[in-house]
Amino acid sequence: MKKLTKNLQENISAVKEILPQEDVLVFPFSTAGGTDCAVVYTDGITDKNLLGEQVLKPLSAFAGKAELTALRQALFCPEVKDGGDLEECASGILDGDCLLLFDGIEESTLLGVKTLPARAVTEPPTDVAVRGPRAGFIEDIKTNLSLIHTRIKTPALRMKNLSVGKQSKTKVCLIYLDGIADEKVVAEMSDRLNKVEIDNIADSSYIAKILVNKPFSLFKQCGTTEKPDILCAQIMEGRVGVLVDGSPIGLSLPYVALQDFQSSEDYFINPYRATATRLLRFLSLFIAVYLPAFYVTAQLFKIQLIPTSLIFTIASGVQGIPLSPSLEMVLVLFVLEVLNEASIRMPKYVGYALSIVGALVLGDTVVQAGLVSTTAIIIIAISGICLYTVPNLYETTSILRWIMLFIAGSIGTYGLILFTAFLLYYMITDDNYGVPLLSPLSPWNANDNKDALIRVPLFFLWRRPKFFKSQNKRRLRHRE
Amino acid sequence: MNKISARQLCLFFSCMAPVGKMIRLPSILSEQAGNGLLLSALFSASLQLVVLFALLKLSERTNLSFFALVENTFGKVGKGIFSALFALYFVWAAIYPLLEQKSFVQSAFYDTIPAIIVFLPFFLFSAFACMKNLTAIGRSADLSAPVFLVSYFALLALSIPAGDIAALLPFREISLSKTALSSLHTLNWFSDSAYLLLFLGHFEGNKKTTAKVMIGYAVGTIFVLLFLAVFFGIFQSIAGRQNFAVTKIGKYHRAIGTMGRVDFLFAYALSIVLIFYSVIPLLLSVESLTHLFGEHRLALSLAVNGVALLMVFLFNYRSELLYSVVNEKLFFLFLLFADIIPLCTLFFRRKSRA
Repeated sequence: MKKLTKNLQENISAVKEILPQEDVLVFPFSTAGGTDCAVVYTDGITDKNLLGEQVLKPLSAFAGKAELTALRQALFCPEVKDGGDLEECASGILDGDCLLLFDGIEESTLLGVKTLPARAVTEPPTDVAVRGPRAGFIEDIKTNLSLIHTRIKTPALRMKNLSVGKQSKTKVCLIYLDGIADEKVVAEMSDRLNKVEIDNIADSSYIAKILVNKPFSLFKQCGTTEKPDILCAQIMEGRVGVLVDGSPIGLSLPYVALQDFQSSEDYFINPYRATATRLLRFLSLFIAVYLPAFYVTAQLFKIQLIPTSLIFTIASGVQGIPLSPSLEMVLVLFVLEVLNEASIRMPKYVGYALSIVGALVLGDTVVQAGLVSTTAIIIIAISGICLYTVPNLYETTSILRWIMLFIAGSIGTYGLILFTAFLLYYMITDDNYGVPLLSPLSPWNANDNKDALIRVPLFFLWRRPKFFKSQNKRRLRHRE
Repeated sequence: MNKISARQLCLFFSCMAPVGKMIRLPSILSEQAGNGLLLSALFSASLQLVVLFALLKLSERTNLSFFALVENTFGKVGKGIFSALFALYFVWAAIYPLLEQKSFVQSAFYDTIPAIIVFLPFFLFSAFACMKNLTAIGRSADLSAPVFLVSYFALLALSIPAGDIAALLPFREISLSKTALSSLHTLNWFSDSAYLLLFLGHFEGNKKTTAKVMIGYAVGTIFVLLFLAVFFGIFQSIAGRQNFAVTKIGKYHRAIGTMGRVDFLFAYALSIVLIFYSVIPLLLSVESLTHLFGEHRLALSLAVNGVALLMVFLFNYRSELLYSVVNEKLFFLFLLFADIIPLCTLFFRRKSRA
């Protein structure tokens, strides 16, 4: 690694050799004592006002000796660190820091005067809560970390900073509570991130793929949230939070499948209502995945499953429809998926028109034209609505719905049962960082089930979840 | 990480094992023992309880696995022979229940009997499940318990109003010889102790575990007896011809007319537990073979499931013949592997010869 010398001009040339970009600027100046200095910074991501007020102004007025300690003490900048070798200096400059060089002094200094255009902390669109905190993560990791700091004020809070990505050098921060999170999990996560060689980390989802055991699994393996209050709660349970610079999505590991059935609001409302809502979400997801398949299999293979009176209604509806029940369902589901995809990508105002065309014109016309039955549209509509009760599982469940539909149309009822058994078996044998995906249902744990599919009142939740193997087991105590 | 907890063992015997006894066993027992079916089942279950108790007492004294005990007693060659024998036994014991399940699937899941092809994906699932270790059995027991309990009690709630338990009376008409014979002929369904034999060393043996497992098996037996009683109470003299009891007992409830065959939904839920349960002998066969060939689970799983698939194909139209061979002529094999060998294990060397 190339080192800096005592000659200012040589150092400036060496830095410019590594960073020949035009937006890397050099500003030479002298102190009142006659020491030649220079600041090197990247235009656009350095706050020039701060640079002037905290660095240039005090140094220009400094008339003392040309010693590093004295010069640094003259600065008004609170974030001062050693620059290290040339490579580290270059990396700091590209990250928005300002490199300060002095003639006759070999050591360099990096000053934190970064400024980035960041959007305001707003309520995330995917995690809306009627009650409870509304702040959401943004793309700037520093802001996100400050949101964590404001919620967890213990000295046990640990933030392990890593740089991932050969080219992007993206900042990744592992956040955990010392004595509460499993040290083995933290070590394993750091190890995986340090070992990976990747050019660019575009989003936290890249990090999620690196951290999980089975990146090809259909099932989600890593918890995601856009809300700091949720991430903090998960960290306090014993999980390790991960924040990635440039991504508003925080990650948490180890992940258990049931955590996606929980919403932050569950903890702010009546526990009975919270339990009812969780069970409703679970039931909705079940309906979303199984209802279209059940309709097809009942029609094709086991008509007895449908009540007699309903059979007549369905029969009158499907009379004259040229498609088989499975093809009819595939067609309607395909249209729903297309409408869904288009409405997300389209400009907002065109989206409204698309909804009208999709829901009213297309839906009404295909029924009148006798291409599909009203029942099929109702079933897919119910399934579509139910799928969004657990938005975090949308990716998995929408694929499962298709698989179930194909199985229902080919193998029938037994195929559905067998595939369900397979999914369950897969899930019970899938561990992530030693935590089974289906815990606390399997392996069963009575304590952890107090806040899984049901939620008991807060004062019964005095123990941390057992499956995170926390050393500090108690999280609530009544003091007399 | 090849462990089963005491709770999981308890749930296995109380909520998983009874499902295997709710498909064809009720009709077979009704046909062979008449109103003595409860006595016959009770006799077989009592024998199992004795064997289970002996094995649990053994587990309190040693944490060695069955094959480690065999190795201490008979050496490595003996261990190899026992591994091969138990691997064969478990495949053998799995065949009839698999054919039973196949017939159940063809009859209960479809309006018209489909080709055997609809059942074949089971072996894909089984091949996948057999690659896992014993921990998977424990976890599947955890998951099966709520599914079983909800479905079982729902089916009972639908069926009890149609049943007449008095059909089991009078007791004096029970033929003891028929009852004893039917017990012998249904040993296939009461051979769960062979599973516990292979679980030895994989669970923590102590008094609490013994109590939990014994209670678990007793509760499972009560579930089975209650089911048999309701089944016989509904069908009485024609009970012997009602082959797939779980889809039959609930169909006379008034709600079925207005709501459709909701009882099928519970039968389907029980089928998930049945699928988990049916895989266990094949998984244990693979487990036995790993002591002979090492941890090549994928290859062993494919081999074991391949053999099972072949047998199901061969006996597809000969299930009655297979029933008479497996259960009526060679029933002593179940007695040997599920009762006699487990009891003999008590006398195996617990200390290594070395």
